[in-house]
Amino acid sequence: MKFAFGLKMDTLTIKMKKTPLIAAGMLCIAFFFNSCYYDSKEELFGTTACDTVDVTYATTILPILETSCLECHSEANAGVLGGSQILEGYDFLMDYVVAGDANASSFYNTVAWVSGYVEMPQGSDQLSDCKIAKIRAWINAGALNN
Amino acid sequence: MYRTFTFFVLMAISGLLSAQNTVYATETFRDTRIISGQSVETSIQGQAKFIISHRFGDIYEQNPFSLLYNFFGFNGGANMRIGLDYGITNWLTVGAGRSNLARTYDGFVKVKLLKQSTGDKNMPITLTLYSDISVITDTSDELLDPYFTGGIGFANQLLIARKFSDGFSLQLMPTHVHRNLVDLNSDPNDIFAVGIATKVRVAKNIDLTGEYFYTLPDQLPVGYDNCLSIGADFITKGHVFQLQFSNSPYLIPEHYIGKTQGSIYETVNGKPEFNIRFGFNITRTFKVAGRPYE
Repeated sequence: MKFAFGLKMDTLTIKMKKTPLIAAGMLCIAFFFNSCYYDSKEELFGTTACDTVDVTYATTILPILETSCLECHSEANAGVLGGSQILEGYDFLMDYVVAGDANASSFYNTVAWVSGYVEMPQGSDQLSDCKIAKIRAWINAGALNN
Repeated sequence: MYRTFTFFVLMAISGLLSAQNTVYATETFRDTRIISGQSVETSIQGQAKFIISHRFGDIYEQNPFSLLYNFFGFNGGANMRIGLDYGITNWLTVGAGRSNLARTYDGFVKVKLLKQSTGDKNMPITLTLYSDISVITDTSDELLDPYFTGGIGFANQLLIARKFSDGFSLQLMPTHVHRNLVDLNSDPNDIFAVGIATKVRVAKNIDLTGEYFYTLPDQLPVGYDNCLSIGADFITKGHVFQLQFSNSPYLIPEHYIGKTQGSIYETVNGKPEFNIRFGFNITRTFKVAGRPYE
């Protein structure tokens, strides 16, 4: 067996048969010596204080919907992906919100993964605690279209 | 006549010889997975194993009518892992996979160090080393997003198993899990746990399995729980079909240890609550190297 530049395989002390083994060994070593960090979000990004006072539909709720919900629950996709439940636009969203009472709103209960409700967003991790707290604050403040 | 006689004599001799040799325990577990966790078994040399693992949503519903509406968690959002293992040798397996929860990629190495045997070589246990690395690539966590290494986690496991009889095997799994990024300063980056798993044969082609990972005290933040699973292995022609119930949706060690939320049964505000998810593993093997199928 020859390499492209004509070096004979026999001249190498490593036999071809052992190369997968060596590759696997190096992979093992890479696993063990891979850079290992000891970080926390609190340390890196400051106290994860959550602002639930300055919460509005346009600046808080809409961005959350756009990143995490509307992929399936837009008017265009809801029929196929979102169980025909549309969250696009304030009026549609309010079908799942009881203004002033987050615990009675299925929108809140599904994203908060309250037991007995389907866990949304489906097939993804839960929204961050801060986002859920903001949704709760917005609903409890009357779920205004502001 | 003479040839047949010689044949039987040779057979008898080889039988006597092999009786003096070492007998290795086979099929301590039916597959390389027990439920969520790994078993001591490794893939056969030259064999690729395609594994689909699936965990559905919570079965429990407050409203009994929702049980059928969500079909016992079928509509509750599932975690899936598609993986491929490859046996480089009989004692060395590498594998990789992708889970849809948190968009996680993982790769692992499994090395069988000791094989349980009787006879010339007497070894009471099978010992396998498992080590993996995984990376979360979910961009919905805006804190994790600009910081790739934050999503990386590692797990190292010592799998110690003994096959007591054809019907009963037991496995201990001291586990170390490392996550590069945790939420709070008080949360540990390193978590130590001990897992225990068992296999009990109940019928010719059915085994019951159980698995529990006990996290050593003072490591889990409030709201996080240990992972408990029970399952059944159905041996069908060509593959093993594993059905299971677990309180964890996660399928790799650095997630089911340390990220599992909610134990199987708990009371929240005085009300009973169950966290049970149905799931399955299906494996299919492909011969990549070695002799062709007959």
